[in-house]
Amino acid sequence: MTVPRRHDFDDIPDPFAGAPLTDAKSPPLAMTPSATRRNARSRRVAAAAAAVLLEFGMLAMLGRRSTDGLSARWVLIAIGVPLASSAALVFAAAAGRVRRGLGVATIALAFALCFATIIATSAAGDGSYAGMRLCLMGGMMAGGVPAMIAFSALRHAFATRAFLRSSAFALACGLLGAATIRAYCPNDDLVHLLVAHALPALLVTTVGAVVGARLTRA
Amino acid sequence: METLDVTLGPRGPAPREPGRVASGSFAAPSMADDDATQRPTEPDEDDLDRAMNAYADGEDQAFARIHAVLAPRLQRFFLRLGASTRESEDFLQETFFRIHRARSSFAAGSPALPWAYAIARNAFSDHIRRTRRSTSLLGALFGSWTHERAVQGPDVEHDATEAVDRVRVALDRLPPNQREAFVLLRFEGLSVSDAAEVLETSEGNVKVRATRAADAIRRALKGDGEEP
Repeated sequence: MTVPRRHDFDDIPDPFAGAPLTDAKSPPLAMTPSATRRNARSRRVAAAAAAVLLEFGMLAMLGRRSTDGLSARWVLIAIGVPLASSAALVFAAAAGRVRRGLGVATIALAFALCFATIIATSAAGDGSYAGMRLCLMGGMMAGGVPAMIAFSALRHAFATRAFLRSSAFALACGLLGAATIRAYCPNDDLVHLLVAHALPALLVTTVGAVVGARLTRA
Repeated sequence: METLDVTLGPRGPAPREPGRVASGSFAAPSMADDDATQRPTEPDEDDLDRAMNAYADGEDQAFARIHAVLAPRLQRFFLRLGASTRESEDFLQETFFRIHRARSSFAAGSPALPWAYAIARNAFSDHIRRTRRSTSLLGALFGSWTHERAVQGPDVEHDATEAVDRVRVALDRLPPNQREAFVLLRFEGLSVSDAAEVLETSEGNVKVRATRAADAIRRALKGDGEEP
């Protein structure tokens, strides 16, 4: 296909050039003031501060782990790989490079695998299941609440690419939650890390991307 | 919930539209030259950018200037996308409401026109999505309803012979993504990069869609009668 050049479309007339339009005079307005730039900036700073305070508050309540435990490389693999792959799929789907169905199916598969692992470990009486519930709930709270705060501060903020941008925020909040729980949880079992730490982050990222796109779209 | 009651005045004679959109005198922006991503701004667009900046900073009086520049352009944009005159007035009101609601997120120094077009397109596509959903539900319940007319809007004489009517019919038959790309480039005067931003796609995609749309319209103008 040849690349279009200047005046290439000039031969096509505009059928609506003379269409009757509504009076172009400025209409009378009756409105409650919307947020201005200054309001929005302070609201976003307050939201970021609230999110950070929440994380520190949770850590103060739960307590920080005393040992360094598993090497950072394994933690990175256990949490980072599933998160990075799901985030890549979400972003790719948002950018239209792959079909959304494929992205959704892959994320659903990741969830199914995580839940299957929970069921299998609980049935086997694996010790790693013991602290799973607290980490799951804590991770979701530590990631989900900042995401909700962020989206309420960013309501109607994105005219374009709302899904992509809200996905980025949701991913950041999911990782924040995972980091907070990692700073508390002394359990270094890889299955535990995958299920109880990566799953909440995954959940926050995917649900946040979908919900956030609706809330932040202008 | 914020409310913006924009009371639109009575429909009068077609006002002179600010800017260069006029039949037969429009020069499409360059799409292949080195300045493909540069959109030459016009005096009213500069004024619009300044007004939008002021409005985002809380100066409510700037709305009158924004409305004066945007209203005719956006209403024609809706007509070109396939809305009826009455629907275009509703979309216009919805768009200005959304602009008011989102003004705090307008980035200082950025062009206001593509931003406003993106919001207008969101308002239009949300309506289409809602209509499609409700008509398909009604269709499932009560048989095939006039879904196409509900979605596409304007009355079009399909046996039209004049060139503009042929263009209108051809536009009406185009797939929405091709129609949007073509309308933004040919009639609204956006650059390829701005159109790509509004349509949330790549510049290459915009070019391909617009060229396909133009080919289909040219075929219709020649009287081939082919479906685009």
